[in-house]
Amino acid sequence: MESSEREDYLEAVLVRQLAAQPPPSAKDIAEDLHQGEDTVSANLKSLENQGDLVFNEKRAIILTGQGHSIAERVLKKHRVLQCFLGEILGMDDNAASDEACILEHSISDTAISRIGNYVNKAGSRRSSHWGNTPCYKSMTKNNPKPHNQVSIPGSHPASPISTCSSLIDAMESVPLTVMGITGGDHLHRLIDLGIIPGEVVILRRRLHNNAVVLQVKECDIALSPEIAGTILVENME
Amino acid sequence: MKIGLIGNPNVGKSLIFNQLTGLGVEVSNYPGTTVGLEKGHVCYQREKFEVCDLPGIYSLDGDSDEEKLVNGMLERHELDLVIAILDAVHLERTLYLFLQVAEYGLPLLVVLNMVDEAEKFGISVDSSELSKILGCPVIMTAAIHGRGTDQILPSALSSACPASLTVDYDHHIEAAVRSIMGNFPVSRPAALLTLEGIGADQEILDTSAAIASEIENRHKMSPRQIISANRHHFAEQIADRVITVRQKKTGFDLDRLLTKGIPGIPIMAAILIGILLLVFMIGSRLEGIIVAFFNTYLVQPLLTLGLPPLLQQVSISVLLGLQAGIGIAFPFIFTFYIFISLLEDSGYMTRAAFLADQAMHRVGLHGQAIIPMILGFGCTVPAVMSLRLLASRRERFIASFLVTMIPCSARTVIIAGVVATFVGIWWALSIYLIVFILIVITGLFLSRITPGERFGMIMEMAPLRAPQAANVVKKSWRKISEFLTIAMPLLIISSIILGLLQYYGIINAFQNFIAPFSTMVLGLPAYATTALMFGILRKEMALGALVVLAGTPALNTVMTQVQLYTWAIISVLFVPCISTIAVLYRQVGLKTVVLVTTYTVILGLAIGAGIHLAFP
Repeated sequence: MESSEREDYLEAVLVRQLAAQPPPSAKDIAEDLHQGEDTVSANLKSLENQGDLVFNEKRAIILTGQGHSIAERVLKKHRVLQCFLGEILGMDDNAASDEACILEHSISDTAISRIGNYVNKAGSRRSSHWGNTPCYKSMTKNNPKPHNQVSIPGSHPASPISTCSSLIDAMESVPLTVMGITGGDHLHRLIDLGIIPGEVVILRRRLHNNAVVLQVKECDIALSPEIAGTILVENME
Repeated sequence: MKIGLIGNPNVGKSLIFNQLTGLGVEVSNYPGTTVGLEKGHVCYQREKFEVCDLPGIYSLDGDSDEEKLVNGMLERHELDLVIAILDAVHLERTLYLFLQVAEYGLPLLVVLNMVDEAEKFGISVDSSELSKILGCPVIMTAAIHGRGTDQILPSALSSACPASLTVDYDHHIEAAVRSIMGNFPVSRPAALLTLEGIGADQEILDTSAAIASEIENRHKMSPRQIISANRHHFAEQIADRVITVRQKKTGFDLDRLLTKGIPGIPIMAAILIGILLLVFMIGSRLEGIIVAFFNTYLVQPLLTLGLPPLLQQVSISVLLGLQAGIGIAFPFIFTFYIFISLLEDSGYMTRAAFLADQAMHRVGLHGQAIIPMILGFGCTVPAVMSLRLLASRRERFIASFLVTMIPCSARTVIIAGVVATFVGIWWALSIYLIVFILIVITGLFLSRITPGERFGMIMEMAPLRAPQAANVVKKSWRKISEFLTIAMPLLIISSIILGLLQYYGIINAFQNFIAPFSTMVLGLPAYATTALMFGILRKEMALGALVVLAGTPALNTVMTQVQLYTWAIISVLFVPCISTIAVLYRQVGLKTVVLVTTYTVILGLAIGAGIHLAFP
């Protein structure tokens, strides 16, 4: 089984999982990937042997930590590429998605992260997506906690390419890119202080009630929890 | 010629203003110290210039009073010359406001302040390159050490000119601005503001709103967001070109301790309680010395003079008024202000606000509200004035109740002078406890019933600095001299009126009138209730009046301990003093003042009656 095929399978499972559907069966995946059920079953079996997924008692597919992180990485690449091809290069949505399906398997992490940064900058600096276009959402959607994840001894989940979340859930002391503010225009003080999409900020402190101190443009800004919660950020690493 | 100082909060405008004009404007290390417009005059080469210290703002496109004030002055070209003050440590952030100010086309001088702090962080700014980019002169200062500030006026007068740079806005924004300016007689900055929905002329606003929604549809972001993103980006590019950072800041970061839940909150509690205890102790010690001095050297000799009764009454009243001011209020208030100035100048206030955010949420407020609360322990008047730091009407409404209830130093005088002296120190502290519980209950209640938007805290943390002894003393002195000039005449006059009322027997008449209520409901002698009325003028006057009316400073000989305790707690809660009422009226309006006053009167009397019921 080729690595691109493996990635496609795992991605398909993750997409179903993110859509908050019940764990998919081999039949569901066959449908999604437009392949024969027998081929799919055989391939899933070999993925199970590789430790990417397990079947539960109802024969439904559940990703392991390893499988989840591979799937997440590919899905992220897919979204970045689709966004880049569609919104920046102006390709038709379906064509962009199909093209992204091909490119996502071979593109390097460096290239994808640069494209991701470019798309973000274009979003914040020049025009287009400030925070609520479909493309923006698909790129920065909150990574849901991998529910149903089964940890298998000996497999260590690789860290995902990015973790996008509200400021409240972000990590302290690492550079974060502001992705958007959901609070609307009344938070113009945030804009004045430089908290705008594309800006790189550092979470200096978070109290247990989620009040935070954010370092923006070398200044420390204290924010109440309800304000911190409206700021979406992405881990840059 | 009119010169305006414009800059972000906390970049040192007031300090520079003081050095330019020689006036004493309050300087603090937290954003928003300057309330309105401070004006001063300065003579240079036999010409007189008017200098205005404008309130610190982050941008001109907000809707706060400060932003509107500055924007209005620029728009109407009321200033002939603008001194834009930038912070060398936070150059990029402060350039954001500058870019907006520069659009008004007024002659500019850029003052790059805090170069000393920037040096400490290893940041150096190429001022000649900056001047070239901005197209106007730039001078470097370290105002806190007085370095370079003597250059400000000469450079401003000789070489200030309008900035030559322009921000590259998105071309749709540029097109919109051209179209608005083509149709209406407005300036470019005003046209930009109308795109953001700010302006006075409804016709222009309507036109701009139509264009703005078109832009918003196309860009999926509002013109305000596009414009500010363009400015931030531009500021970032400028900053990148002129700043070189030699080494990253290293060394111990005190904020690791101060802004963490543990040990930050215990540290905050220790600092605040420590200040209260120290003020209590130092204050009572000083008070004892000064009061004894007055008695031995002034009051006693006067009594032996054998003056005619009326004259004696008046002169004793004058002395008692002086004694109340200098002997009682001064030691407490001055000591308190010294500590508060230390807190203000060190930048600790903003840390306290951050840590207090959670607790303040419970009572419907936000972290910033701790600043008025802390100031309230000194004097309620400046505390009420600082209510404007709070973002929403709702918060100002709630806070005006709570701040008025905080025991100010005049009330500390009563607690110390009556309860601590005659009942016991722990009983004195129990009054604080009761008041705090009442404040919390009031806050919980008001936060449930007060309508209005809840607005979170967005507050810049002031950098931590070692307070300068000279500034601390100067500031405390300025505050206390304000107190002495405003309060002393009032104290002396009201003391005389009190003396005369007593002399002519009017007080006796009032006492007879109030006596049934006083003894039945509160369990107090009539003269004690009468004395409470004088607390309306100034809180500590209630104590002075009680001593005069009781006829002896040894209050425990004429009243029981329960009576003294009841009396003290009523006077602490009961009616804010007249100056507080006046300043509340200015800050939050008549309705709130009436509510606050009624509430405190009812609360005070209810607690007093409650104690009388429990311990008849």
